[in-house]
Amino acid sequence: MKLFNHFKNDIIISIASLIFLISIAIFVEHPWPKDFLISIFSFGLLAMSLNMLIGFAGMVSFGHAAFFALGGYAFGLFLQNELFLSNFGQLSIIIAFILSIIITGIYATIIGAICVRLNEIYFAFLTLAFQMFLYSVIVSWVSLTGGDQGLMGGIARPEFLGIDLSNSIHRYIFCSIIFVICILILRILNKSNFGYSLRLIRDNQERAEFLGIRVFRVKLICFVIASMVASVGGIIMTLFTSGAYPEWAFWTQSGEAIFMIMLGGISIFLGPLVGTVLLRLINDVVQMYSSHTELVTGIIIMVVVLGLRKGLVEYLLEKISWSKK
Amino acid sequence: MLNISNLTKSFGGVVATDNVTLDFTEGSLSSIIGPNGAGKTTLFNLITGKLKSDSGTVLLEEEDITNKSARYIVLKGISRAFQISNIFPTLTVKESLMASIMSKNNNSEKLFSPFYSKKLEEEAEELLEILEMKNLSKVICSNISHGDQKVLDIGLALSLDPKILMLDEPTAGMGPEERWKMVETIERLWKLKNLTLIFIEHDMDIVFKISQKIHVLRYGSLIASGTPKQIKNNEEVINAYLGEDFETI
Repeated sequence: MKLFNHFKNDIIISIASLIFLISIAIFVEHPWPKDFLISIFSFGLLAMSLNMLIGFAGMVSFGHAAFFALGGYAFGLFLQNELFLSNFGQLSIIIAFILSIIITGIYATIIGAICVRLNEIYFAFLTLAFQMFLYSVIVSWVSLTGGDQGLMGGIARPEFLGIDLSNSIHRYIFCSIIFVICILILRILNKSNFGYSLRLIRDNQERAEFLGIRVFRVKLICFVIASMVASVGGIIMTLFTSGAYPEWAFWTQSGEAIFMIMLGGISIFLGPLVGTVLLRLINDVVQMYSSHTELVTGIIIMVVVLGLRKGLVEYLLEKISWSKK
Repeated sequence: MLNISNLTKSFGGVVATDNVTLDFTEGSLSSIIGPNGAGKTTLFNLITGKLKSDSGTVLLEEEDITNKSARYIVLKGISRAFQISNIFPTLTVKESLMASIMSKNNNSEKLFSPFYSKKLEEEAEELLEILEMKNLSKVICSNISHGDQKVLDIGLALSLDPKILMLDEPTAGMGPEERWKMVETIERLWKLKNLTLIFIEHDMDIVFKISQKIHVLRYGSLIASGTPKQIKNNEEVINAYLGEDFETI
């Protein structure tokens, strides 16, 4: 109740956006908006959780997509396993969902315990190295992961509590609820005591230490939570594509998440989400007209990054406050 | 209250702190002086846990705190401000004090309790009043003047409710007028909070005016300790640091 009172506005906004998202499913028949939005939920969580590291805590990770991939693969593998499905029956999806997040959390604790001791470029490169390690495991362990083909053959989606995830509307609504809950959690963390400890560390790690902040612990907790949220993004993607693919664990996926953050803006809470929408839109539009997607998106990103520096959202907010003056 | 005995630290071949033995009594105001490279800041770093000593002990109220972590020592009651003001550039003045008080209360790892709370804000405002910085409370720290940043740095240290406050060149980089204002602030805080205060300072006018005790370091070792009067007449200190022409105040 106390939590509700303090974050009333955020909770109301979350519920309102959830109603809006669900109404799209009900009133729009064309599949494109739903498909587009599910990919936004998925990659949006990747970008938003990465910004918890970069924007809140100043830890620039180049290997964040590893946790996205791990979540997706774990979830997919559970739901392809006959034994798992027959044991848990209707509850399979929920249990697979929870277990995948926990597994990612444990993996992130181990990786984080090694990485967060380092700062700046050393941290970035070590996270990158661990991501490529996971990528090699996925590609070479063909019998489990399907190697570079990805997790093929579809995943089971047993009905639970009247929710049938093979139905596109049900799936969309399920994903939008999870997405909104995750964003709300990130928002609360951002405004909590913990969020301010992260700001202290981002601004001045040494001074934070001399104020009695347990820098290592706080950074590790942040790393693990961000990774778990990223894994939810992966799970949504697996639900959507009914498979999992090694590209998710490739370093370019982490790079893309960083682009999203840079496009939208690092210091505004929802900036990375706006960046996700922009990058996806740019991708989709460019794909319609040209086969050189990467070249065109690369140029657009360069223009935005060099021209706007702080990202689009911040740029627009500054413009607005200027015109008000 | 704070007893340092035979503390030694060397970096490679250079002995930065050489067998230093010092006592600071409760409620005292002492200064540490010495030429550049005498090991003053190193001594601070050893006491506050930023550096690990090679040998020797640091006792705080009889408890051995030698080579403990910075956090442990802070929680035991020694906090410090830095030579180059060491603050949080993107937070406002009030927010940074609030965050510091939050840390003192051991709430810094609470994931779901909101940072803004009435109690925390009130505590920070009280501190702002003491620091005479109320008008700056909503300004981003990187936008306040150098002098104010130094005061804020001290405020951050003070927010932890220390028994011992250590200031590393509190007036560095300030103009003469600002300096004396800073000195007033320091003296005021010292009396108000009943602190044991230790500071490093290069301005001899300030040192001799406010210190009860002065400790002189050279090449890492302590060459003299005493009241301002004793130090002023100490031959070795005059030769090593003050110079023959040092005016008696």
